[in-house]
Amino acid sequence: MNAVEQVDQSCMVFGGLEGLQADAVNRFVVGEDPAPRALTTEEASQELGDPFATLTLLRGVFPRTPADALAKVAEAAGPGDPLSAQRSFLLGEGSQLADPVSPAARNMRFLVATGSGPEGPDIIVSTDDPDGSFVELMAWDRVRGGFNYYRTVGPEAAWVFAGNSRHALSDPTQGKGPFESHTSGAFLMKELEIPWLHWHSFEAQTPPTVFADGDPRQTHPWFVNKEGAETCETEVALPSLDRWARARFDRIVAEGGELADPERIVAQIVGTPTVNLISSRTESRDPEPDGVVLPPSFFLSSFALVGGQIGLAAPPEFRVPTAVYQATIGQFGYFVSDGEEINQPGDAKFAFVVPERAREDDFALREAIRIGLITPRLAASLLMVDFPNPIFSDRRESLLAHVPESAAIADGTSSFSQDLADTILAAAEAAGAGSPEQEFAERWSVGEAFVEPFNQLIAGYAGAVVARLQTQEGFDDYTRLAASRRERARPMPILSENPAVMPKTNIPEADRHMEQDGTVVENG
Amino acid sequence: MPLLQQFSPPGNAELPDPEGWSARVADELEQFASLPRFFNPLNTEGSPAEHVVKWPAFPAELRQPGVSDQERWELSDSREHQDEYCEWVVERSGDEIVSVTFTTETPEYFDHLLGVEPDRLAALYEELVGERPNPDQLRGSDGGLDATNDFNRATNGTIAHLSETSNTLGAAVRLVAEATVPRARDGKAVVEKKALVRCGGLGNALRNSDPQIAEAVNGLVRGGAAVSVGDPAGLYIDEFLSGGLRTPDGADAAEFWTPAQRGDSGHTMRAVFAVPSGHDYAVSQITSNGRPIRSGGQLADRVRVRVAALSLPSEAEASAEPCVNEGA
Repeated sequence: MNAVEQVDQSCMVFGGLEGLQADAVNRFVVGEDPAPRALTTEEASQELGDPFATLTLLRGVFPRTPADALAKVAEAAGPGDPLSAQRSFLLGEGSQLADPVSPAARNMRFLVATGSGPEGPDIIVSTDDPDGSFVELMAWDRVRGGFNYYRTVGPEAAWVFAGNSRHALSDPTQGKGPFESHTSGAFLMKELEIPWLHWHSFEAQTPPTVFADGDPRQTHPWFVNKEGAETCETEVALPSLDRWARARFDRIVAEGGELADPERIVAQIVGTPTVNLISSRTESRDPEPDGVVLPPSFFLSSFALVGGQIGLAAPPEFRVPTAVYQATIGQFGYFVSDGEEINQPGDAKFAFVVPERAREDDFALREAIRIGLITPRLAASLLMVDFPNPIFSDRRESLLAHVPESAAIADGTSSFSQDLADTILAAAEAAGAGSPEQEFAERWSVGEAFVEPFNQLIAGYAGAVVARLQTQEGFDDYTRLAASRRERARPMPILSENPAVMPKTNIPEADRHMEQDGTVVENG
Repeated sequence: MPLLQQFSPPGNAELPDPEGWSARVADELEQFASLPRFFNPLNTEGSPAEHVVKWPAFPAELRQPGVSDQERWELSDSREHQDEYCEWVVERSGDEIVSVTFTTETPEYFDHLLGVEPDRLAALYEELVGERPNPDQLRGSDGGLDATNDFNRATNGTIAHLSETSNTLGAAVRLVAEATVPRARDGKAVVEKKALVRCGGLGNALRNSDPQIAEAVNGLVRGGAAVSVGDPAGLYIDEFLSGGLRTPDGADAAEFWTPAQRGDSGHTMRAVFAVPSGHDYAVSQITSNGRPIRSGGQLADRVRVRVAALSLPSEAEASAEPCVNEGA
């Protein structure tokens, strides 16, 4: 199907849809469908192979609320089926604020998963109200693989099929509709690591008072039986990320190993298509006296580089003295604001919230290595270009210009890594001293035994950072760098819905980057 | 009539001299009889509500944000790091993992056996660790059970019971009891869980367990309740999360988890993860979210531990106390 012209190709386009049929599956894959259209039963059956569709929509059952949607699935699946059991979780950007705000400003949402099996849940629902008319639902397509994305529209809760994970990966649908934020088609849990800022968890409990007195959500089973983000991470998020990444790359092999757009994959290594959020475990209003341990992923791509397929050593602990951290709160005028009601001075509940390299990109990298497309040497050499800037590295991302137009994998191996390296090496001389190409050439030149040389590079850098963290001037610089990364990430679709998702400061906006000697420099 | 006539053995397990055990638990509680919002179910009437607090078995202190998973998993397999009222051991054959055994069974039960029926304790040890000790080999310098004895701390993948210093029933009772004291600093109630732990000296603020228990208990007290420990008093394995565990032959790895090896079906104190016969591979050939299982810590991420507290409405005076540690 050809690309279509639409003024609004974002998620917001769904809110204004008209003419939807309440008793049919309406297909509207942004970029592919010029307008919503009701699928015939035959069309829907051919396209939708997930249990939500097969147990409800394709049987002519159109639930009108999120709770009813999962109830209808459970009823059809029968007692004892994993689809009859639910796990509920709770989050809200305003759920952990120090001072009271109205329940509406807390922006509370439920995430409910059902159908858990070895590969994670089959259906995941996101909604603000179990008994309301709005629901976003993703369900694993057991026939074609990938998650099918649905949402309801309007007071009649008409069901719209908005695409499958694979639509995130190619034109004309990539980056549009739900794939604005689900950039590679994967499940999103942006605060994926301890302490799961914004989520109910063992690190931060969410009391019933986040809802107004008498709000039925206070006593809804999804609230009463809610589980912590630590369980969502283990039982929902990581299995779902793994499931789609594996299916995506298995499909490349199954379809003959020819890859027409390898840049799409390399961009997930060298670029920043999306981010996760991470913070320290320190409660900002009551920090431990022995210092604040900052997330290593602020300083380097720790999840991708350390251990696993690449196998570098873990960096040392990045700890800043408590008094040094606290001095920055006032000096840089930290505040949390949603631009409307929320306007609270101070840092977020957990100190030092920053964007980090997205875990979905780490899963993609791991799978690219597993199927033989990317070698650990290439992955390490790419990630070690401008490694003190694990996200938003224009230097590293510029290497995308050298990615060959196609790639092929056969019997678990590919010449792609060597081809890409050769292309960059060929360009290095002309690119000149200090260029990303020459930096890559240096990294690549250490050969297959890259672990120890790269460990030494990181050790030198980390040592400089650790020393600077002991000084107010040093941590002030890192605070400015963190602010720069926050503001660069803030317009990303995954973060743009609510400004309260990260704290703000009075630090003048500027792009900044980290140097290998641990200093921070404003981009020229 | 009091809520309880007698404390049950942990997990409702068989136990000689149950009266002696009950008296032992009562003694633990009686240490805190002066706390107005902590009660002893043996001498209290009413209809209590039960509150369950759950947490991951993986030691939270090793879970600093952004620390590599591999690093924390490897560290966690040392018993001295396992301080969330759950310990585990990994049985290996060469480089392959054969099984991972988890326990939440506190040493007090075993100490009780050592006191009343040492031979039965020796037999139980033999059942759990595969070697029968002389009971005297289990004693510490005070004549009681040394929880870190060589049979319980062997490195061959066997385990009898909890051994880490803070993994005791007494520590759990103390935490629940002392968490009933409301705390205030500078005239303001201390309610944040980590701050509460530091202020009240309630264990380790970076654990999963201590802050959760402290916050739950303290919240009940601030809401007008008195609190005690549930019966049977103990720590229990609540759940095993199997999502994302992929086996070489497609079998459901949830089936490889065997709970209630000790304790009744509602009070699992010992569970094992192992590949049953009929499947030709080891635990280490199973992947967890795409990564081969190389350590027990990967499975500990998936284990949930729980403790139960009881609450009753109370009008006893419970004024806020200052922090026990002024620097907290």
